[in-house]
Amino acid sequence: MVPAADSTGASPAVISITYSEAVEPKFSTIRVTDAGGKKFSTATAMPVASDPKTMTLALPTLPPGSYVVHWVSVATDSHRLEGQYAFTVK
Amino acid sequence: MDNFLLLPRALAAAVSDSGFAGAFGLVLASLLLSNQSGLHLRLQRSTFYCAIGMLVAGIVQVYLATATMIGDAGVAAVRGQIMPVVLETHAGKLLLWDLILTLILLLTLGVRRDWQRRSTAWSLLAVLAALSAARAATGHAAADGDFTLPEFVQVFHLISIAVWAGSVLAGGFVVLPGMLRAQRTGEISAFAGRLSRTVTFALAVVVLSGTYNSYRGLGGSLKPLAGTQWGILLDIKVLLVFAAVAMGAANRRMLGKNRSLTVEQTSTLTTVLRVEAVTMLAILTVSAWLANSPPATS
Repeated sequence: MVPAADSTGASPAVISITYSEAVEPKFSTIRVTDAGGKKFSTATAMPVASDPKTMTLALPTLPPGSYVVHWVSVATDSHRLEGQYAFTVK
Repeated sequence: MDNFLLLPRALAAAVSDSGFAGAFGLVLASLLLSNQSGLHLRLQRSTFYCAIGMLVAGIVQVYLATATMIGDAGVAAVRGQIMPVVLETHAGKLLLWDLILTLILLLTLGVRRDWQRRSTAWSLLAVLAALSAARAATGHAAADGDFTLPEFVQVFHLISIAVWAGSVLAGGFVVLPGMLRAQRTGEISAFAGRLSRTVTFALAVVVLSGTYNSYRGLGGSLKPLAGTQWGILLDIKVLLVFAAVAMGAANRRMLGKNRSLTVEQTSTLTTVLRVEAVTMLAILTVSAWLANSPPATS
């Protein structure tokens, strides 16, 4: 995943998550909030045409702070997984 | 949320898989029986009930797959998303194909009433084989895409399980009890012998394809067998398979020793086959649970 979990760096242009199985783009989502839950992502997560296991989310420039990536993946066999991880912008 | 609706999904899949195996076994049994057996109408009715079970379970599976994908089992939420799931997702399209093929199976059962003709049985087996292909593409075997080696192996795995389990289910619950009731005990050893040979061949394919699937599911390591839900379920399934194989071997040994069975031996053979059939239902249920659980490698 990009940026990596618990990493610190400049504001990322995109969030990129690669799953172990191909996912259904229509029902797989990524959103970014700050630690308080305020949503910072406005775009919709998109699939990568050449890699059905990867979803990306374009981000606006994020001000310094801590952020949480909330992801939902629905595999092509219809199974749903969800989780979250944090990263920090300097 | 990782196991959202796991139990109802596994139960619906178990009903569907048991109906599928039962239908496969009943149609095969019609090929193994002589036209004078007097059991063909009973086989046809039982196959119809299996197909109805598959249809109902299939509709429930579409609902549950939609609920799982959207993370909400409420009727209003599912109703709003069921069409996008069925028409736009891989699993949804295949569940729709499963329902269409099940309806074709029911239609064929309604139209082809001449069960003594072998062409009827072969046309039903063709529909069931097409259902196997659709089902192989809905599970973990399709994780790396369609028309891959794992999916191809899974088609053979599903057909061989259906032949193995279905033959035992048809024999234990329909054919042998029917022969006993009709006091045609003389035909039991001949039918059981043909059944045993069919099952032995199917079992060889089950073991080979099952070993391949298990190796993939475990990620090439035996460690998850003890540490993950998927591994523990696989342990239980293997134990049940050993139990079923042992019962089948006991019956085969009895048949091998003596082709003209006594009344007592016929009764023992039927009882063992019935217990084996119940074990088969347990194997199909655990298999459905496995198919709906995240593999040890995820």
